[in-house]
Amino acid sequence: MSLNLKNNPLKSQDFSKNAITFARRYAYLKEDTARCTRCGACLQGCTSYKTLNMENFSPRGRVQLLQFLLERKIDLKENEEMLLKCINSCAQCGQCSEFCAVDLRIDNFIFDLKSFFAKATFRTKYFNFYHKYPSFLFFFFTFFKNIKQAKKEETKTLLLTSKEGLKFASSSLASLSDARVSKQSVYINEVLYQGDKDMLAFILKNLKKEINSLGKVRLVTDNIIIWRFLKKFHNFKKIELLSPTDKSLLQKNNFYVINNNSFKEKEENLFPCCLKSNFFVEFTQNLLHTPANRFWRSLSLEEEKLFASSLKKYEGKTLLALCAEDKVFYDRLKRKYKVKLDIFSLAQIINGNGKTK
Amino acid sequence: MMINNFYKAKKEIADLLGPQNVFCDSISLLLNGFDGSPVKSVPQAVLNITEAEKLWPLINLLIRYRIPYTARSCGTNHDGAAVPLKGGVILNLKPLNKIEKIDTKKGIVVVQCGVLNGDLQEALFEKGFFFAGDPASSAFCSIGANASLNSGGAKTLKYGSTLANVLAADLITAQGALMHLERGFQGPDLLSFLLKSEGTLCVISRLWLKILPLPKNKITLQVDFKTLEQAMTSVEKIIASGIVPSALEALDEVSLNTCGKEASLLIEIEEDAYLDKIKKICKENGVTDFIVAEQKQAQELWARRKTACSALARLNKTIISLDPCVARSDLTLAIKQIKKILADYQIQAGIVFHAGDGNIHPNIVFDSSNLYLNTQINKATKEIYKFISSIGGSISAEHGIGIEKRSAMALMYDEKTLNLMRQIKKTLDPLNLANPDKILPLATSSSKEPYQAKQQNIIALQEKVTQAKELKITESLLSQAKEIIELDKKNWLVKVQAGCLVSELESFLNKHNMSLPIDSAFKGTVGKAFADGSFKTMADYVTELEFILPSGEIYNIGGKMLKNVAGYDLIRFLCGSCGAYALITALTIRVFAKGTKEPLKANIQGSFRPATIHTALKKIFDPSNKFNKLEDFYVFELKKQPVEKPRF
Repeated sequence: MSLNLKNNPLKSQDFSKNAITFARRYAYLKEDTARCTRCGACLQGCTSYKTLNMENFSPRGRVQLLQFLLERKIDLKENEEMLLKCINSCAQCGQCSEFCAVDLRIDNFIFDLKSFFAKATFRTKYFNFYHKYPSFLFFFFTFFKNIKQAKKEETKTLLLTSKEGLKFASSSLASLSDARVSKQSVYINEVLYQGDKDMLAFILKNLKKEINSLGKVRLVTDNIIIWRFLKKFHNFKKIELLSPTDKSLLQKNNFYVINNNSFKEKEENLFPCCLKSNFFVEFTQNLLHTPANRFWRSLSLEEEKLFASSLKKYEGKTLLALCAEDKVFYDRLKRKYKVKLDIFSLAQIINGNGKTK
Repeated sequence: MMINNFYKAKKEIADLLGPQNVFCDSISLLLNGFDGSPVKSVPQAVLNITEAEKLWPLINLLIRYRIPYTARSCGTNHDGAAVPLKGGVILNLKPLNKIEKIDTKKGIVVVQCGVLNGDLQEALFEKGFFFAGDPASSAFCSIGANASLNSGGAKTLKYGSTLANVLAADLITAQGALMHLERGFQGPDLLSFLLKSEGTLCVISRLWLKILPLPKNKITLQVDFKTLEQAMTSVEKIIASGIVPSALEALDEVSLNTCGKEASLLIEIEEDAYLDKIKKICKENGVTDFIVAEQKQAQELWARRKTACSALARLNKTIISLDPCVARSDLTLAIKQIKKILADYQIQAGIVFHAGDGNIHPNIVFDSSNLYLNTQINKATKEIYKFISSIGGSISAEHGIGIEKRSAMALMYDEKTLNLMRQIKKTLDPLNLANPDKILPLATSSSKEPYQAKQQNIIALQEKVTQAKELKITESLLSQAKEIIELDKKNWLVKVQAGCLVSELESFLNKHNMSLPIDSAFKGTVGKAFADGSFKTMADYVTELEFILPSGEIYNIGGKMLKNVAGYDLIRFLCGSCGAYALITALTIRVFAKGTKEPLKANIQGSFRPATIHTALKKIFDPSNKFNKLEDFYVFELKKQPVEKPRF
């Protein structure tokens, strides 16, 4: 049984053809991207640029990429891998738009890129498979062959981090040999906050796919929220939380844990039982409740000042950020208003960077 | 794009760097072929350099296969210095971002070239120190690029430019030699000369920088004026009264985005005693607001200054930032003329400037899709450069030349000086591989009249040099030329002929309540102090130099401006050259109010032992071996000398 490829309506789903549909759909972005002066001010905030150290993974690079895509200068068939790498490496933290000299909303551009190509890859991979192996028998044969191969292979570790946890991912990866970062997990935090259930389902589907493709996997996370979410509500029973090497450090009185206050509220609405988990109780002795990350960006200068001044009563004490985005925000406050705080992320403590303090 | 052997060499490069660090896909190529300028190009490959030690074998490999290469770290240059014009290979130096050592006792920090200036400042701030090079883009530009363009920023007036704060460097020359150069080495100042070449003579891998303790007392003043002239006259008077503020910035009407006041000064001082003096001067010149800022307010003021450029960018689609530099006394004239030119062409621009250095930044805002405006702006910038070079200023103070200002070099230098620079590039990089086709104009010949000596005694010297077959350069040769040509009280500069004794010059200056930046107890002439290497860092205070080459031709480089990064830094190269390359006839030196500056002390460790790079340069300056011979210098025993590793 074979398909007539000439008249096949599915043929238009070829990945390289996406360039045309993309250029047509987002043609209105042309004027905006042309405003980029390539001054490089956005580089100072970008976490992916600072870890990967290449223009491909910088906000300025991504805006240029968008421009080239709109001009159809890039052949997608050859460059699919690199394109997805460029787009997916972005943690969507929004720092670039904050620093942008001409007030471009770079994070919005990247959201467009991401949502378009996430769907496109899913579609094309499925349909490419359909083109290649029209016979269902052959399909099942290859499917089981893959499973057999996967069983033979050794176990691999997959690290699930949050958005800006990517910044510290390289340091936490150092303690794990042969580990890789899951791309899908990066959005979980954000989508959980937004409460978009469709998107969550989409991500979970992709995450399961990613895990299946690796064969034997050891799942590891350094983010308490991801850990809680996956373990409690989605039957990822084997997921491990990287535990700090020195637990006594955390129980000391001068250690404060930063917790996203409104995140918690939202979470309570979504999943009423999550706060009862045991792990959380260990940390709750010293909790510092703070507003959520989305709220920070809308803070006015005066409000920010007030917030910084209220932090001064914690001077001399050590804070632990559960969510890596918190760390980035507090670091900025620390620098701007000269508050003497020591802030660590979980990943840093795991590697013993926080030991000296 | 040039056809070359990249694909033959690709396997060897991948073996050396690891295949994961070689990028040939079209996305990487498109995204690494630009910088902050409007110019774009496409390289053949992007190489990620993750270890500094691999740079040397890599560059030798590139030379062996004749592949052009361009170093690039953050790509925030305004003039296209990081654009790969001839294709070839991009060396991505951003992964070299380690601060290797901070030694607060000796005041030295060792950094790799890709470290961000802002990151370094932050790391030093925790220890109570700072680094003097501080451009407005410090949060996103790398230290290596700052050194290779000598971009100084606001603090140049007091602490000197970036190059004055570089103590040593590891670099790979365009001939493929790995060199460790220190400022203390005898002989010509190769360190500064090679560093400040925008990557056309060398690639930097590691830098040793001087760091200073944070000033205990810092006062920031905001001073508003009704007219720009009032502001400028008070700047002139502040400088003329001998005050050296650590920063003296100015913003104009457009960049302030206010009506009613035309100009505002931002002054930072570290001594309390200056405060009353400045207040008095400003009051005499019609100040409207005089605010001594508190700590928080001061931070806001500086943030406003540093983001002025980006605030302007919001007015229209694109922005071009120029950076001419003139003598401080010409500031008012220059700004008026620039404003007039811009108004003639109906171009919107905000002017921000480092008033203390005489460095002007006209930021032109325009719609880049409008072709007519593009041509208008090209005409206007050309006219601005023409005017700047006609009053003896420099076309670039900190951004560098790159591609954008290449043709304007022909306005600033005469043909023979340009040819000298061309020859330097040709001999140190015969294959034209290191950042090719930058800095020097390719086709345009200079319209400037060749420089000629004005004094009779210099003309006589010139004749003597042309006629002689061999000439030993000593102090006695210049015994006739010891005039003090000019004392510029407004700009705090003195122009003297090289035969003048240091003690004589000092006593002359003392009458005017001024003093030299070098030790007045030095026995000898000014020319000797400059050329024999007694004061290795004297070149930081010399703004203009006149010298005769063995062919009898006379050259004049620099002017009355404090910042100048146009072309190769010949002033620094000739400092400590021991008469082997040129006969120095006149210098313009910065002077200071008596008792405010600690003079440099003389220390001679012996003469220098020339390396191959010295002999190569000797062939350009002195092909007939007429002046002091390099062979003579081998006699002395020395402590430290540059070490050149053999070529591959």
